[in-house]
Amino acid sequence: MISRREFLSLAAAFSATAVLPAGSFAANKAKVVVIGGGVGGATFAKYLRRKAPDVDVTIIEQNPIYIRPYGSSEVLTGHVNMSDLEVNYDVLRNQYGIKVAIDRAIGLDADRKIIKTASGTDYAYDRLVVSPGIELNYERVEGYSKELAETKAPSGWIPGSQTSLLRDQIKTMRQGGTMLIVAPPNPYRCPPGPYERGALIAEWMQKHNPTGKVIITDPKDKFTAGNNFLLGWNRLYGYNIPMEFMDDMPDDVVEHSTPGMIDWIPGKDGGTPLTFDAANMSVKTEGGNIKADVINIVPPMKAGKIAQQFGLTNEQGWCPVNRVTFESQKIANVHVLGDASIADAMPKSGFAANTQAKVAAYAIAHLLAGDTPEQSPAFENTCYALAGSDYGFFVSAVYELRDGKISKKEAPGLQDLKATEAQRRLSAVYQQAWMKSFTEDCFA
Amino acid sequence: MKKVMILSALLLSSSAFADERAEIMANNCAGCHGTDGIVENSALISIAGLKADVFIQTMQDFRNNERASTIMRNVALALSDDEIAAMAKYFEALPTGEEK
Repeated sequence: MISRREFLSLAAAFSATAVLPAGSFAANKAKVVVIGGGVGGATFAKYLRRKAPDVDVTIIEQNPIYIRPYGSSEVLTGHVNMSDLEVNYDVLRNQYGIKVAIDRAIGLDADRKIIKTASGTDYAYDRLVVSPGIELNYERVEGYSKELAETKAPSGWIPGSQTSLLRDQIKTMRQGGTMLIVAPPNPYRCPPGPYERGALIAEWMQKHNPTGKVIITDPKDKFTAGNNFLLGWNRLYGYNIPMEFMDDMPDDVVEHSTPGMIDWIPGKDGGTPLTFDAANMSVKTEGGNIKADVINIVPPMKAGKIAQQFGLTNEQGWCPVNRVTFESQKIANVHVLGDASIADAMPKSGFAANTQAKVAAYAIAHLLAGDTPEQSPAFENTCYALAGSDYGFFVSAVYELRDGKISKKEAPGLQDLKATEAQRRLSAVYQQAWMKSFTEDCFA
Repeated sequence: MKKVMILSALLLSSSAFADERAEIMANNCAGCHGTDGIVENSALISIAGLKADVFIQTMQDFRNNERASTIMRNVALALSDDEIAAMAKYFEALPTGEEK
């Protein structure tokens, strides 16, 4: 008699070489359950089924339609509609044979390796993958709450009804009004996001509300691709670049005599937000009170709620994992991917979650087969960002393991500040093209 | 029982998991260039079936700024010659969109 582990090893080996027809071992297939059908969960499920077609993969996801967060600020300016963000699970189901259960995980029995769901179903697993994304800590901005985010001052950082509300507020804002964006502290999902959002809204205002203004108040003193943003804002919206950021700036930077449409207040200048006053529509910062017509607060974040509930998080609210397999350092046979995981030098981005998911899928295929995963995986990140519809740039990096940590390989990581207009335009074209290619790699 | 282990080890090393690091690196291209290097896109190109010497030359041109790019120069600079060669071999062996 062979043990279950050896049996799984044999089954996986056969399946990988397609010696036996699929389903031969149906009753004893290895089972992988994935909680969360976002970028990390979907990519993981697809790439695991490609690598190990005989593994039974079930995604447990609350929503029948995924609303992609990447590119969702483009809803605010009407460049795309909410419905353009929608992605379904049809191809994952029909082409890859992945089961997608529209259900909610509510309990983990790690000893018996069972997930319990709201519908009363128990899912047994050999490996559990948790890819829950982020939870917004609304309450960490005093005076702010989920309820206020849904009715008065949306965050719109997880796309949905808050995104539509924010779009409507911007659209109906009085001429000459002010929109205030409160940027979050590190680490958070989509590092260039708050600054791209501000830029896209300033561009929209040039057409529809030319005396309007965008203020970004920030607890940080610098941010991802900061110099590229500041330069783009200078060229497009009359922003004056602070002296400390002027090194390496190209010659065409101008000192504008009148205040521009966009302003950024870093932490050292009092940008750190303290309290939100819903009644007066104002935010008190370390530097003073900022009153605005539309207030968009991007609150501090932590790993998605289910990761906290299952005990996968550390004191800071993120999930420590093995960097080869993404297996949790807290609970055996449970893996955590994407924004929720601690991935060292990698940002919390969709691209990062996508490449982590593939590495984890291959590692888990090996673990289920009873052998050793590739010990020096590689990861990548690319984030295209816009300062305007035709003004793009990017952050990009390749990562490898060094001393057990995910580290950036030596190379430039940003678009050159001296990039030509054609290059900036090309980055903007790729930004749009990527929305489609990336969604397909994750979900189709 | 021993036979079982040997059999699985042989099957694994000879097929699905061979050259896995090149495949893992190549998977990182898929977000733009498509799963298995095939993408239907207005701006981004498929790289499946690309001849290895063309792949390598293109990456060198990106590195040396002899071919205009956005992120690709930085990607090419981050990858070693060996990594580029392994990925070139991997993509050359993939069927193109027409062959599939």
